[in-house]
Amino acid sequence: MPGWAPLLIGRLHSLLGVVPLGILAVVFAVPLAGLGGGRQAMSGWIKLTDSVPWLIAEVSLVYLPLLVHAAYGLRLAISKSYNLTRYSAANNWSYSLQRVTGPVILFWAATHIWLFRIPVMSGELRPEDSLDFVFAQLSATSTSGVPLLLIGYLGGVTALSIHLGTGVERFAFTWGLISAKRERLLRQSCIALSVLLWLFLSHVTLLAGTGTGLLGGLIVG
Amino acid sequence: MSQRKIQQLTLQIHRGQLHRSAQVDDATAPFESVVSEGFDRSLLATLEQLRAEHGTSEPPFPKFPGAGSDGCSDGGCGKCAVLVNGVAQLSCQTTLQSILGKANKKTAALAPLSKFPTATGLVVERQKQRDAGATVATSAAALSSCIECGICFEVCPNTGSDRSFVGPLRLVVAAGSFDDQESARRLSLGEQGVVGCHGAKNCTAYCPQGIDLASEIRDLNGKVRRQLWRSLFRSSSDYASSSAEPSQAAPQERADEASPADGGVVDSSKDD
Ligand code: SF4
Ligand code: FES
Repeated sequence: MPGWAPLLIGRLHSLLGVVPLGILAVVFAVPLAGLGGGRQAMSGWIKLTDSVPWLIAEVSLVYLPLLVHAAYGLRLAISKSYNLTRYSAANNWSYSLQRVTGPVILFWAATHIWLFRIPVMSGELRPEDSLDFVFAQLSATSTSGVPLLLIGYLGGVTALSIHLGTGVERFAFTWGLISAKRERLLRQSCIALSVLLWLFLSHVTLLAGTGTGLLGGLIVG
Repeated sequence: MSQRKIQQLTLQIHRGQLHRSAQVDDATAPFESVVSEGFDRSLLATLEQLRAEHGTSEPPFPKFPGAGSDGCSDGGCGKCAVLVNGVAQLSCQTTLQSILGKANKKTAALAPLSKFPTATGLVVERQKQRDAGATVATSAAALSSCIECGICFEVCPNTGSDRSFVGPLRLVVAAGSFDDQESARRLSLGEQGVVGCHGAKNCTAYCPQGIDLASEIRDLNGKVRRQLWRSLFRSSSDYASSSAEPSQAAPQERADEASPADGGVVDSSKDD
């Protein structure tokens, strides 16, 4: 297939974003949902993630694909292909948001891995202590009293929610998977996915950083 | 007694290639004219009146497209597309009032479409589009009302003279013959094809004829996916024999025939 390499890479790019992020969402959603339910259950799950088969699966199914996705995505994000200020149709918003949230997520994910995953992987931090470490870091404030990491995390989960919702929609488009009739339904489902994901992740992040979830604890963990 | 505010629109008409040059002097500075009445007129009619007043020589007055007998003045020929404050519009379908909006004073910068070679003044080079006119109208049913204005190419964030993507119109033309022409398949699958479209869908949102190009491209994406699937599991010898079909131009040759800057129109009559 001479000359088709860009197409294959382009199509793989969206696949390598949607699939690992889908896996991550499911794998993280289950234990995170139990965050308010009990620290013990959460610690048990963290222990499980410290096993060798888990690490192999984590690296090969999530990190490597996402790295490829991020490298190609970064190239697209800096290619100056935005014209939202002149053409502000709804779809152009969705497209542009998807592009700009990519690098934000990359930065956030790198920070997360650097701060919390690498210390566990290298044995510097015991898995059973990692939860307390995460809570402590997220609730830490700067000298002027601003919880910088928590704010950064809230930015990261917001970017992730937008990126995933708009990404699924764009994935269906570039793979030609959806009929004209279902396009509207898909868009609404993707918006719902983004909103639900954002509510859930922000709630969990706030719970970890402040001890109180979203809406001042109106939603219980 | 409150006084009615005087409406005023300053038309700042850029001069073709010159406005793209870094140096601005008297010769390259935009031609300016202040309009304070007749806001229900179209931009094209206003430009025509200015031309009548100032003559056609250039400088001082830049040429503009779609004027007089050259265009239809009715949204039917696509020749009068210009950038109004950076936004592509048909000047015959744009009233001064719509540019002014609720403001009483405003400046409207008029410039030629930025992604086409500029011939002179506000006129861009679209000979290729005119040549391929019959082809566009007949190659894909969805394009039957296309006026080849070039707006879909202009508004797409992924087109440009520095990009290989052929643009939405040419993709939709290729979609029309994807099933029976190897060249259309090659164009769609190659680096100038669907991989360049990232689903911003501005083509659909801003086409003055309301053509849903994005839906056609989405359907083409489905065809490309199936073709890719078939080709991945087909032996390279099969591929070699199919690519050796007579009269099929190589992708690069196709690109040379109709570069993106031509407005993304492919003259697929050459495929036959
Ligand atoms: S498809 Fe629409 S925007 Fe594109 S050239 Fe035709 S009429 Fe103009
Ligand atoms: S002059 Fe024909 S479309 Fe405007």
